[in-house]
Amino acid sequence: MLYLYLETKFMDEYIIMARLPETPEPNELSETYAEICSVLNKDQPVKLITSMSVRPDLAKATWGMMKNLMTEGQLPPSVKQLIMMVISTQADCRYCAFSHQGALKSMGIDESVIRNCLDDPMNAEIPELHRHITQFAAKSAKNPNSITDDDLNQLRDVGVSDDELIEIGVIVGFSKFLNTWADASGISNDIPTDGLVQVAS
Amino acid sequence: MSRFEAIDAVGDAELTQIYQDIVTNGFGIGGKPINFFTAMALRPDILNVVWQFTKAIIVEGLLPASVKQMIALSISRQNNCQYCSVMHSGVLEATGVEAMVVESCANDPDTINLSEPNRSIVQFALKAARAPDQVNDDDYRNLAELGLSDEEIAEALAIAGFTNFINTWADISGIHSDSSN
Repeated sequence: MLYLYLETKFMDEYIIMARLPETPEPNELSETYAEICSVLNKDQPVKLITSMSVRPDLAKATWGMMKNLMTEGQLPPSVKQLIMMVISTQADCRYCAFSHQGALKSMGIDESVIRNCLDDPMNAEIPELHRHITQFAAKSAKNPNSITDDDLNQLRDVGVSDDELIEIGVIVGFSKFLNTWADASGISNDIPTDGLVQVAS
Repeated sequence: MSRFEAIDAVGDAELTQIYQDIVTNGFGIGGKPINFFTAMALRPDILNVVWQFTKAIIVEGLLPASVKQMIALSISRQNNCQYCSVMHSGVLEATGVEAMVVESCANDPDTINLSEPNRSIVQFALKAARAPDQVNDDDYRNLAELGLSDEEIAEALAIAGFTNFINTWADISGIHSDSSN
């Protein structure tokens, strides 16, 4: 089932518990936390990273990936958020779906676009280039071994460069890492279901 | 071989340094990084963070190399990723474990022939990778009762997510087995 989070509350307003204990601040990650707040323009570091604080080394490496893949690179950040939102919603990962839908809204992406990515398998109402990208992301996240040369060539035909294709491929893979961590660490459990609307099954 | 241009690091100082670090840490064949990494070398910025991520999760850490590889092989097989299955069965074998251990991770979803606590660690990671929303407090408690620390449980979970990541990239990039280069 695919859900849309209509509530515009921010993640910071909810109490989210991870299954692993969090190391109180200040800790070895204080500098990383400050960087996260500054880069993502947030008051608090994201739970995905603080839920890893028993292992600062892993938290730092994961943040390195997030920073590079989500905020740097060649594709517009909104397109990357769209990719991650589609994959996370498809995987029914509540924490990631909520985060990426929220990020898209804060970037000024219209709710009808988010909704169309979820309730229409063809994503017909979003621009052709983005549609090809979201369709590829959804397919490759769900069934990576079904991907053929044709899938990549279709993206090349609409003007996606190989530099961009690599970025898309790595983001798809990294989304699966994030979905795995968010659900298995327990942080998805506390994402509220109020305001949740089922848009497709 | 992959769906992307194979990049030679010669003449590129940044790429040469990353390639060397990858090879020095055992992820090379014939002096070059394995296809998993060269397939993304058109983007040195991405290669660099992916390598740092790989290093933290697979090279360093607390769990023994053999246990990390048992997790990676079991999940890669269940995800049906051919490249990663071949890779991790070779690496697991090279850590010196018995053939039965490799066989169990490769072909038995219940890994009944693994000894504890390895069997429980692998089963936890398999569940996290394949059905992360089914993981519950009891799964954590079970590992704690077997003597695992929170630091080690976090690592097992990170390896589970990491294996989903590498399986996805391997299939999207269409990399061929390194022995076919």
